[in-house]
Amino acid sequence: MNEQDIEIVNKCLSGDGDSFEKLVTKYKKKIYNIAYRYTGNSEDALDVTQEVFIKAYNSLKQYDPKYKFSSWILKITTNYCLDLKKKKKLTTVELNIDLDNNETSTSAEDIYIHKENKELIANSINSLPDEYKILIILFHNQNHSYQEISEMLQLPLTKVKNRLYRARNMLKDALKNTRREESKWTAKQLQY
Amino acid sequence: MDCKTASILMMEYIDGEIKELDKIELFKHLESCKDCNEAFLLLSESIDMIESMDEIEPPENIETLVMSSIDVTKYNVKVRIKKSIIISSILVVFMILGGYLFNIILNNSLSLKELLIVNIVKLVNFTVLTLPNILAFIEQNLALVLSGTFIILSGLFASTLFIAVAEVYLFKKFKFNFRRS
Ligand SMILES: [Zn+2]
Repeated sequence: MNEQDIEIVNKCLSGDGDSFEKLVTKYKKKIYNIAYRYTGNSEDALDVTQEVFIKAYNSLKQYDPKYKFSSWILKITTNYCLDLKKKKKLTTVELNIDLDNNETSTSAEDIYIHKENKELIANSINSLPDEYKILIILFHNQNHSYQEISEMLQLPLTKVKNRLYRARNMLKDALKNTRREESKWTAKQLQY
Repeated sequence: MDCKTASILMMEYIDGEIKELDKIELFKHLESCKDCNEAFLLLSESIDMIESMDEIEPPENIETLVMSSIDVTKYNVKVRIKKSIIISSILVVFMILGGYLFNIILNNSLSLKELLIVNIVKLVNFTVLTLPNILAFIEQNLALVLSGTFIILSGLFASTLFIAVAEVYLFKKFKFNFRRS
């Protein structure tokens, strides 16, 4: 189980392609989650995850063992995500928010509010421009450091920081606008 | 403190990198400035929401999907050489057959349809009469058979050589050390 990534990579490169499956098992969750937050739906997320692994396998010889394998495959993931819009139109219509209700507080209202917030934030993230969206996902959802992100996206540290600041402000404004719309809506409903 | 500085300090606060003194100054400003206060609340709320989003379980069949769409023998030198030998032999055979057919067509006054029938009849005869005829054919066309065999063998040799050289070149180019552990 504790086989090093580099050992698995070397096995693949010396002809044992089946060992690649171990790397898929190890990194599928992380890549799938980034892809899901980025695309906003499970169908595209699965597509992205699959493509990223295929790409990684086919360019395995370009992997430089000086760096961590996880950084390398995440770099492929983010590059792929950022190129996605150019390749095809993403389906941005539907948002599949999964509701796993294994929480202890289960009053109907709580769940409702919880779901509302989830949808709200997923929508706001989705409305961000791609370069900002990916930063929010990597930093706040996947807990990567500025340094890691700067390596992944090959951007200078200051640029990453500035962009993330701007991304947060965009998100804040999006939240503000939805709140405003909501209160208008309830006010209207109260009139009738 | 102006609102612009406050905005930067808010970011530092979120990053957990704010200095104690700046923090006190920031909160002082938030108490007196309604806009910044609202911004700060919204900002922390959205960050909280993102950070509390659940991890999603990917579909279970991802491994199968990936493994069925990659070539697991891609980096297997032995298999690759075998494959290229088979492919190049097929190519060589087709080239010889093609040349042979082209030759027949050029040197015949018959139409294509007639040619096809004549050749099928020939082929059937040839198969039915089997070994003695094959031997006779080889005897009669010794030069053709020998040169054909020679062409096929040299074609195979050349393509194998080419692939081997290409593999060695690629390994050298990427400087990959297989014995690393
Ligand atoms: Zn202010």
